[in-house]
Amino acid sequence: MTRRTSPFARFWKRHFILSRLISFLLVLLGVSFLTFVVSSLAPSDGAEMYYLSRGITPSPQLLEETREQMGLNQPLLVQYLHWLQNLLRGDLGESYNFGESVLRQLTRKLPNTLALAGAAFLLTALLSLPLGALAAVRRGKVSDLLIRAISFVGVSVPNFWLALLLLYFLAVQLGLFPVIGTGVLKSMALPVLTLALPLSCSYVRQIRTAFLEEMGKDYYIGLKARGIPGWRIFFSHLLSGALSPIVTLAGMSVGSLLGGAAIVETIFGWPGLGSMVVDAIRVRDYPVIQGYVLWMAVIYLLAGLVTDLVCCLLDPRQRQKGFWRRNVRKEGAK
Amino acid sequence: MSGRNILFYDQVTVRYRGRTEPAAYKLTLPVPEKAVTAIVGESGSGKSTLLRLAMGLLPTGGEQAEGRVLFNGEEISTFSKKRLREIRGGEMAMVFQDPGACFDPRRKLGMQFVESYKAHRAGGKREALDAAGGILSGLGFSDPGDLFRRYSFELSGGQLQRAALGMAMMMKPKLLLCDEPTSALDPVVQAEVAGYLKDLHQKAGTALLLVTHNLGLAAALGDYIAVMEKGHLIEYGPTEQIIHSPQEGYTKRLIESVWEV
Ligand SMILES: Nc1ncnc2c1ncn2[C@@H]1O[C@H](COP(=O)(O)OP(=O)(O)OP(=O)(O)O)[C@@H](O)[C@H]1O
Ligand SMILES: [Mg+2]
Repeated sequence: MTRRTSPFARFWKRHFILSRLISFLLVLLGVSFLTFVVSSLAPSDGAEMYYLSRGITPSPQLLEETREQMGLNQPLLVQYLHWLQNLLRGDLGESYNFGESVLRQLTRKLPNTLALAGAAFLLTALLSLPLGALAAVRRGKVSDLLIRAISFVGVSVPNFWLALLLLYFLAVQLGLFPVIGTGVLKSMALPVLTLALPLSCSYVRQIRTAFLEEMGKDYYIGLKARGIPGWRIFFSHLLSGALSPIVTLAGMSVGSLLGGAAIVETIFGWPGLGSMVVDAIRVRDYPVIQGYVLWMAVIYLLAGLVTDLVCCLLDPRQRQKGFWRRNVRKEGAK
Repeated sequence: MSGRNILFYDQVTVRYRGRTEPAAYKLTLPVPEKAVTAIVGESGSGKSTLLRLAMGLLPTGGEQAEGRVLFNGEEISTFSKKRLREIRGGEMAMVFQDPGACFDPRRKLGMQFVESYKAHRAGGKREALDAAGGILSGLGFSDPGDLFRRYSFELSGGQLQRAALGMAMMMKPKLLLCDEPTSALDPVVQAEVAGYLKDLHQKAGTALLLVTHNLGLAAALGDYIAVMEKGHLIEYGPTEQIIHSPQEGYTKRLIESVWEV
């Protein structure tokens, strides 16, 4: 007897994109709920924070009135639904600290983080793709060993330490870059380097592995046996094969970069999302923290979704079945 | 039949790193041009190793420790990278034990035929597809154009093996190395592919070095049979001689086992 699968399971398997979209929304809902619950568990509530951040010590009566006003006395679920309703209208609440809407604050900081993340990502790609590929092609040779040794060191260096080293040598000693400040392209250089160097080092290793894996496949020997020139094997076959693990890798760090690298932004005084959230945590500005966590969730989930779609498009087996349907036969069948 | 040797293994020893027993030991084997030489032997006796050695594509860890391999009288290990690339696929082609190995699963077959053609000839896409189409229609593909639009994973085992044969023969090589060309196929398709092999060999005058488990196939196609056991060539001669008066006990058992089945 064949095992019967429920219609639900079949639907889930077939409609690849749709199932991913549905789970995307569900996870987002879950995250929003968790975010809300966790911040409502905090010792000081919104009413208290509202006054404290303005330097006022409220009387218990005033506090009680404000709680009533803010709806903090209602059951948690009701509060959540209310919050969610506002959220769907694009209202993430007001920052306790600045009295500015959280959405405004997020959108004000976002371009800075985008610029930093974009530049760091670009630099990472430019460094790690050629080096990783070179190390794979020259496996076991001196260049490979050198690249691997350097990247090993680079991976082990903590971000903040590298930041301080760069600051000390490039900015203080050599005076090449300003220590602090924004606006000028020059002031971006150090934070970008701090983000990109360790990332490149871990990329180099993984890109090398991705290429080696591709070179271990049967067809690679087949291509050589057909006398295909090496450059052609590389650009027209290995590259597209190694692309899906690389895209997956990129998808994961796009998330963390777009969240704003908190430590690096703080050290360099870069006014992005990362330093914003560090400030918000310091003064317990819950609406801002909530907004940030939601943003992170959206970014991570979106990056995962896009990664899956791109990998699906890269695989002719998937493409054949059409974009909307998942191929049921797995790759392992050869 | 006696003439020049297109390929000649001269006292060749091959070792794999981490293994004490050599995969081939002081092995001498001529592969005459325009003839079919079949290598038979049990699994692990070093048959694939010999073919990969001739292509200069030993698996990682494999190393030629002694001897020479001569292609057309010239020692292969002295060839430059460029010359080696020209020979591979051009003058000496190989069909692998796993027929899928020939093709990149991410590229359409047509593109891969064109690519192979351009690696060896000056012509463009048109000439390439014509050449490929000519070979493939002789291999039972009534519509090569359809094949060109497909991916390798869309083909059956037999189709894949025939496509791989077509790819190998497209440049009319002087020598075709076939590693178990039929072992992954069912008996009917086996016979079909064997027929095509014979056909190709006769039409193009390509010398064939054929590795097989199947003594029946070796006897049917082979002008010469070489018997290997554990890296040693234990018997070699014209097919009739090997089949009718085998000298070695191992060969006798091999022949008997065929009749039993
Ligand atoms: N990459 C490798 N590393 C180490 N040992 C290997 C490697 N490839 C083959 N060998 C060993 O070399 C010997 C010969 O292997 P080979 O593949 O040439 O045998 P074969 O005659 O082709 O066998 P089969 O009929 O199963 O294909 C075997 O003992 C095998 O284990
Ligand atoms: Mg073998």
